[in-house]
Amino acid sequence: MSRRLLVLILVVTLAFSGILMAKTTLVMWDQLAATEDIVKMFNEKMKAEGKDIEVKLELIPYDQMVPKFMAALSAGIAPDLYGMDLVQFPFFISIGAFTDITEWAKELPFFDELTKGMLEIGMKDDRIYGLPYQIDLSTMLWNKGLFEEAGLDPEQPPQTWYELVEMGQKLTVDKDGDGIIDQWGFNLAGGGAGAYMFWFMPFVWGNGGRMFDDEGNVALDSYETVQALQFWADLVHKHKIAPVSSVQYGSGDRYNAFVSGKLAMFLGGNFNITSLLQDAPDMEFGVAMIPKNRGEFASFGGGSLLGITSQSKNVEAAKEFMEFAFSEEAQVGAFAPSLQLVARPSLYDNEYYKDIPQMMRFADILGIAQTPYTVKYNEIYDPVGYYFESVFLGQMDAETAVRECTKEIEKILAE
Amino acid sequence: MKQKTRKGLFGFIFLLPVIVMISIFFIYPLIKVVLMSFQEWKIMGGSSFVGLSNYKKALVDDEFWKTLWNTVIYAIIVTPMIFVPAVLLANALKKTSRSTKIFRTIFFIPYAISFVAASYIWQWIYNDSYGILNYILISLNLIGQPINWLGQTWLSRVMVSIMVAWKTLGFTMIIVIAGLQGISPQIYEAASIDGAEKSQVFRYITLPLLRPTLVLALILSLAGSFKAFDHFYIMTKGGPLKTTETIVMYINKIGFEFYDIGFGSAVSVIFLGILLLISYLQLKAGGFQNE
Repeated sequence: MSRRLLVLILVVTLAFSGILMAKTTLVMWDQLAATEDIVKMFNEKMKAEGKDIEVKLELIPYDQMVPKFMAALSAGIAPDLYGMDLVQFPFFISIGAFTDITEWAKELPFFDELTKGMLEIGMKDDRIYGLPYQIDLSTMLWNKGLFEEAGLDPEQPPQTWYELVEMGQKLTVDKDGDGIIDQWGFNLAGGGAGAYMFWFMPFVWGNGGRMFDDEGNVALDSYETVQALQFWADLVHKHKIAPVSSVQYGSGDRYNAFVSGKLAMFLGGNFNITSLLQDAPDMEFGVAMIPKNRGEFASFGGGSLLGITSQSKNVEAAKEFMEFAFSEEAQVGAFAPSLQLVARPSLYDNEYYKDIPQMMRFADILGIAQTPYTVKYNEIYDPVGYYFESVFLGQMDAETAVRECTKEIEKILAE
Repeated sequence: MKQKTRKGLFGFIFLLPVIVMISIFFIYPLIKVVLMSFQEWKIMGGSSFVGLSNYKKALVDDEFWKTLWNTVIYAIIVTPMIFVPAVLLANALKKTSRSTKIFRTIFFIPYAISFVAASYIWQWIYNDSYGILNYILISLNLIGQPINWLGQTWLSRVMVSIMVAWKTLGFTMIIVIAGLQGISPQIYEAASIDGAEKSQVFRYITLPLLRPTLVLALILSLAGSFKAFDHFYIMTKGGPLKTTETIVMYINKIGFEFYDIGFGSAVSVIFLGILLLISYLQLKAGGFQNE
């Protein structure tokens, strides 16, 4: 009898341990190739620790990021972990697509380090749903060689709007005297609302303006915004330091012009550094803050947040991965070598960045990064793109554009 | 009789893979889109039927009409730009020889490139500060200042159409060549015995006999033009000021950027209706009725 019981207990224990031993496979979606290394490191670590957790990564192309997620959510097969463009987060949090990780996140040893502005994008009603994982900051790069040629101090990029115009005029040159400009001082960051948000909003912020007030109401209709819009239009039409065509340029157009020495000051970001070091190994370039006027220096904090979706059945394992993804081992081991920005400011002091002075600048820029919060981010793109472009093309005055744009955004937010 | 059934069964078995594929990847999504167009569709479940309200919303939406109009204009511009050179080239290259084979291949190669890659290539060509087109025109003293090819509404429509014509005319050319080769040489022989002139041969023999082929090519090309997305998305991003935003870009925007799947589906269904109507009219005009 007791023997039978013993056997029974043994069988039951074995069966349960079988379940416990069953492999936990986490599916992760992300856009960043460097994440592959983090996943590899994590899987090896789990193996070494004898834990049966494995992460499978699927790299999702940027333009498929939302459609694929929508399809997966509605089919109930969303990944466990998703590193998604942060501006999309508020909407997906609002429909309940992500798991609340507040208590766990606040206990993380590095929690206080995370960039506050970007962290807030992953929050709703003081609850946390995602952590800033991939960081992209808007900034201005300048070609030191071209500054020297123009008789400017190659170590002094413009700090203010006034200096931007003054230096820009010296840097806009017709080299062979045929009446055609061969080198431009500046390019607007054109090509749609996404670019305007990322590179134009820092001009609004740098002039003391803002997009939303603390209650989430549109606060765009201000003298500060009007002035910033007018300033960009003037760069093209009045000061003539940027070509009209740059209103429609994508970032690739601007990048190509900068690499080929046809553009002296370039609105770019940290994501340009690796390719610039490869494409233009001889070019001396610096990373500057986007020039300001009456406000403070500003940068748009873009990139992605990492969150656990509400359809994940392995939340605990997913948390284990998340904690690892933000560890020094993962961040410095996987992000830093490819000059991806590390998510924790304390890790900037690493062996990969130390020989590249441009990278060190981003520690300061990270501190001034802002991201507007709205669940209707994509919808406000529409009026922003249309009215701002109208001003830059010289087809509408800035005051009317800001007024109309604000009206439309208000309408969208009210719906 | 028995053999006939067996034959029929075999035929069905051979068709089965296609039927399954079309059912899964075309019929089912189509039914789903129609259903969703009557719903206020929620990503996380809990969608509700809202009757015709998505359709009503589409018909009073300015941007729907504007993007439809942009698409129609583009189709009107691009179709002759593909067709005229394609038919001329087909006529010149219809006889098979070593040299025509080489030229056919050369004209067909761009078709094998994806629209995305082609759009980026041409965006570089058109760029005003480092693009080769402006460089050549300036070197030849044809223009004084570089032209911003994609910066103005009409110009950008034409310039994008040039890219599309370059990319797709090879395909139309091949279809037309196949059609030309299908015309029996005996008919031409008979015509020449009757003393018909070259222009008469083209007008009374080639064109009428080529009509089915031309209609097919035209339907494919027009449907393709109406579905334009990638090239405008990349080359003009719908600009300047949304004047080159096509209806598919609009559908993509409503569905996947504004997350309004129900409304996006309704616009898709309306658009499908428009495409069906155009194809029907073309078939009718091409004399395909009851054949």
